[in-house]
Amino acid sequence: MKQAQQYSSKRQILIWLALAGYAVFALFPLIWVVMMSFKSHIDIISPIPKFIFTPSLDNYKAILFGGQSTQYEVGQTDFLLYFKNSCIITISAVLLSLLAGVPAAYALARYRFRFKDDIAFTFLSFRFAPEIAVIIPIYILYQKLHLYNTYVGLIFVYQLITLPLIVWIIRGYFEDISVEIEQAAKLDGYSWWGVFTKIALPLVKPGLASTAVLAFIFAWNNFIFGLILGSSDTYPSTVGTLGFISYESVLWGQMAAATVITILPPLILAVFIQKYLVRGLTMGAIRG
Amino acid sequence: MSTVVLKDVHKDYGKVKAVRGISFECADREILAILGPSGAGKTSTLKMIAGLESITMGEIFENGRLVNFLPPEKRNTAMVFESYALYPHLSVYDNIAFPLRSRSVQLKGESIDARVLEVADMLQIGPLLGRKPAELSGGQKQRVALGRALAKRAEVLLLDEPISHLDAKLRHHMRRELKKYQQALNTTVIYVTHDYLEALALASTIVVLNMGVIHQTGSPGVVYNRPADTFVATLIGQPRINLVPCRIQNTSAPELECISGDGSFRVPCPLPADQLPSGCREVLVGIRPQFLQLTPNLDDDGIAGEIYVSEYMGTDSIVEVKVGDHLLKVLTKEHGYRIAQAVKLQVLKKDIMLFDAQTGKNLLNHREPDASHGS
Repeated sequence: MKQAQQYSSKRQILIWLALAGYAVFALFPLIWVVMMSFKSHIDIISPIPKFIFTPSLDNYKAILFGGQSTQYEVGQTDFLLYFKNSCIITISAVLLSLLAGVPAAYALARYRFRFKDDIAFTFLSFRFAPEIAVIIPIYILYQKLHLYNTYVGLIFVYQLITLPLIVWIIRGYFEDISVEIEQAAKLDGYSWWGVFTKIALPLVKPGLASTAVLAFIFAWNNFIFGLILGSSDTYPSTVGTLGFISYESVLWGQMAAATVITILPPLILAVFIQKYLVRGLTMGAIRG
Repeated sequence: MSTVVLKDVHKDYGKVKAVRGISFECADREILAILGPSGAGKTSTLKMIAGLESITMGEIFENGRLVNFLPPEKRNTAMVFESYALYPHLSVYDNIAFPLRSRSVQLKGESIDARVLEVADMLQIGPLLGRKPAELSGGQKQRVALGRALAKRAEVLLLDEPISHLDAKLRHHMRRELKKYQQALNTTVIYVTHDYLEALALASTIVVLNMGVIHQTGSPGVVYNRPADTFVATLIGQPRINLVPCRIQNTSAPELECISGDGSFRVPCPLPADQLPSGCREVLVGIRPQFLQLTPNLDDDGIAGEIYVSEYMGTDSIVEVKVGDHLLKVLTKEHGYRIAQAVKLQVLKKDIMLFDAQTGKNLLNHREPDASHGS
């Protein structure tokens, strides 16, 4: 018994060490970027990487308020515009996906109709092809339809990311509701709309929240759609971060600061709903 | 006033025929029980009456009105589901108030409150009103489900195995309660169950269903004493009815002879010679265990046998007697029979049922019922 305990505590330490090692490996780039965002340009380009330095908020000041950096002249950056673009496009894309995807998920979970499985599969297939494979035809299409460099166009193309996610995960949640609960509501005098809004929707609410956040994170992190189908008016902040690479120089510090600000919204959301996120994913996955 | 009439109703799920042409009538304010084993099509039938399942063929009338295509929310029915189907996100109060807030009932604030409290009071669930369904025991859930169905004051109340998941003690209690509520509320009730005791105790009409076909429709007395066939006879009654294959001996007073193993025994035939179906020689004799008399006195007349096993049940004992190759169950109040003890079995002619060996149909059913059996 004692031996077994010793063995298991030794094992515990090994597991802990392995996990700690992996955490450092995985988080190091992130930590490095965060450190970089607080460094001066001299510290950044120092040939020996510096872990000890005097932190400054200059980079943040520069991207948020524009103005002068100590060494290099900086024009007004468009980072705030890009950040706003990200917010508008991502939030609208998620809302549109919820509006279209939740009824679709309900129909796929509850009703029997022709081509049902084909339709469900089509939704999923949006996620099969890498975005880069379809981007050229979409680009040409968008040019002709005047959707290039518009919010509407980007919100629309972001449905390729958010819609399949919402349809497939929420469908699993709806399937988890006992059919008899909905039948009881019908007998209680409610039409299908009443059953949907008063029974089905409230029951999937926790799943809805976590799936929406998940869709938000995927959409927020997207790069390629914004890069090809947007332009300087509509770039999301992921693409906007590239703007710090110019012909003459790379503004590493400001780029790092922009990156840190860009990862904040999904990070905060993920931390808030972490508990539900894992549950939401597995629940949807098991039934899907 | 509310009646329910089914005319040749069918239900197919793809190639599976769940209900194959059933017809029955449920009179105003009666309790009709649909009795059958699992997979008999009981719940499908109930859901068709509720409008939750489409009808493949046939007609359903409620109050003389054809309701085949009337959606469930427009029918005046309430239902208690086997799973209770309470709304997990709503409190007990809101569960019961839910039907009252619907467009078809449309009660306003205070009258909803009054109705919920009235139902809660009747079912003694007042203290539970603030709880969520997950915080209730099985018996409490059952009461809430019943309360939700009663609150609507529908004309037809459909109950799908409402008490089969409760423990034995609570089940007996709820059986009495249900009968009381039904009388107080004056509603028509269709009650689905697999428990013959519930059906006998509650219903005024029993419909025995198996594999989507009705085997018999009748009052509890008729179904118990004059089962239409061997299926009904074995479904109802505990311990099960004894069924013994016999041959008809055509003597002046016809007798039934059972040849089994190294011997044979004879019992009187309940049919006079001229009423015996022609060509039917092989029959099944059915005798309920309580109608077999057991005597240790070997000088008496009767069928000789020996005790195979005896179970003491308190007031009664269930004794199995080996007669030739057959084991006959006997329900007796006399205890203390030893295993392998030689005994004699006696049975009265009026207690013998006769079934066709091929079709299983009761051969006595065209007779008038014996006065002694009542119904």
